[in-house]
Amino acid sequence: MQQPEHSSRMARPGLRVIIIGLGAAAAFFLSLPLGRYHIPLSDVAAALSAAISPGVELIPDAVQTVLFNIRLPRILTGMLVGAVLSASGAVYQGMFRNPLVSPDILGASAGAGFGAAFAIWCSWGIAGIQVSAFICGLTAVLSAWGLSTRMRHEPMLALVLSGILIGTLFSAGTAAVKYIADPLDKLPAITFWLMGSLAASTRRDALILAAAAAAGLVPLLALRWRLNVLSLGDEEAQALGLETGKLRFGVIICATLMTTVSVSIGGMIGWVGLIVPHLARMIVGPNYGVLLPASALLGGAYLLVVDDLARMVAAVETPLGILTALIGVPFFLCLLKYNTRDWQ
Amino acid sequence: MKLELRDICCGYDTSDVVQGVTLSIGPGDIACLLGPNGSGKTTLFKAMLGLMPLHKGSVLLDGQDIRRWDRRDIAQKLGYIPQHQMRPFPFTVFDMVLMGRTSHIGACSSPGRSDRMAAMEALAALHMQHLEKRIFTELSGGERQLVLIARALAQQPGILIMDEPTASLDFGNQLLVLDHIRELAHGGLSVIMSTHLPNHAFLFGTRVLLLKKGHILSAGTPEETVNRENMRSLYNVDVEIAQMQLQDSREIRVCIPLSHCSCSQRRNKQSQKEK
Repeated sequence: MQQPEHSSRMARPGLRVIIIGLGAAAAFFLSLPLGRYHIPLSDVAAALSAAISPGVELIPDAVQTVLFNIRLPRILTGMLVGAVLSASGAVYQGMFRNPLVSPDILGASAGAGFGAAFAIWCSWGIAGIQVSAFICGLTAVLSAWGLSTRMRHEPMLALVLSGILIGTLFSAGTAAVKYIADPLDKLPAITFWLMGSLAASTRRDALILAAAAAAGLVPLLALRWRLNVLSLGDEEAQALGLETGKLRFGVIICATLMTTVSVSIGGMIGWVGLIVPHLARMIVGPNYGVLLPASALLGGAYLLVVDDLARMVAAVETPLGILTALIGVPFFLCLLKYNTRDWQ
Repeated sequence: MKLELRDICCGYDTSDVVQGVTLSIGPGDIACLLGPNGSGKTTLFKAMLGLMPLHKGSVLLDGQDIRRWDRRDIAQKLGYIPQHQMRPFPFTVFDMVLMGRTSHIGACSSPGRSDRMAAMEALAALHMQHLEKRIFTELSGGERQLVLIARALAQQPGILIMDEPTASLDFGNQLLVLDHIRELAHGGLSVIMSTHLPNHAFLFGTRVLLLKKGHILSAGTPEETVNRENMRSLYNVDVEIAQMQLQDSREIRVCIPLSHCSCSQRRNKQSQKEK
């Protein structure tokens, strides 16, 4: 009766989210044995079960140390960074009704990058880095948004343009901080950190990120239905009964909080927040009730796999930001080529 | 439900786009708003919906001033179908209609069973259940307009405000949409819509409002308002109003455009020269 190609595209989105979740879980377990110090899957399983219920099995100390102090924190941090960047990318895209924005394009990453570099230069502690990254990231997003509403230009383009402008300003600020930083100790710290790496992830990093992800994702998930309505645009959302001003501001705070905490821990990892939400939308559709979890799970799995590659491909660790860009650019070109229909 | 505007002035910044408009619409009315491009039709609609601050005057729903109402209360009474615009995300038809339920749902919750039922009923009222699972952005213009009307119905408002519901629709789809609008008005809904075709007013309107440069030029029944003088003043077009009898013996008027006044003047001059 009906054209099946239309209805099949969004069939059973809930089931699709569960499948993505299973994929993410599989990526998690398969990443545990990987690395320079190879741990057989059986040892991993034994160590994990011993950690949950202390038993009689003896696991070598080296395995314990590598698994719990190095590999597990890194895997969790990687998944969380990917999840929050993708989730906030999905939220920004709906919020600004613009499939071309992402944390990097809106200037959130550049702002957070500047804030963190400045904090490193000032030798502030980890808390100082977080706060400074958040404040600068939020300033960047809000100024990009404010600037775009004052540009007499097609709104989709105006936001991208103003995001690039604001991002450039903050990047210049970062460059200035690097220029005056001590070349022997601060400069390399800032530079390596900006390239994006999960190599030094600790348990504390994973915990901070988990807290930020919860603080950002829980309210966003609670507001999932309103996010759908908000993505129709201000006037339509208001006519449907939403107070858009407060809602949009709160949503931007949540997304920016997640982005900046992720930047202050994992560095500037580009493109994840742009391509993963697209991919997720192609799989489950634009309804935030499923899009948000799908983006987070897919982003977590994606960044974990990329980080596995970063650990494995070369004798020396490859910075993550380089890999995500190398994968992201051709992928995005494909999206532009085959998926423009949805943007009409 | 009754909607009244009392002497409202509003616009962007400090300049008034709409100046001193007073009107009232009751249940079952289909009020057609006619006016040239830029005459303030969309601004007037935004003022009715409280989407734009009034510089002067008031909007009353059943006698109550809506100035202090929140968006939720207004949305439960007034449904709005905006002009065609870009929609970047491919929502399903059902989700689009379900969004009409937003004003009936709590801040942190999602639509429940009763909301889904209401959305299905709204689709059924327009005979569109079969489109439920389709992607909104892939529909034809007429179908999209009907989905937006269904969304406004799911809102369960007393008044529908439609900004050019027939713009960019083909001949058949215009009629499809207007027939549905008439059916809804027979069910007791009040409708106000803007249109660019005076014949729509003759065919479907119970009341006509002519808007010129933000003022009401004339208001009343289609027969009273759509006439040669008013069309000339509004659009600078010479028209003839013809009366004709349909096969079912209904009497109906039609407005036939003859020519644009400036063109006819030029033509007159030319013919004088030739003489």
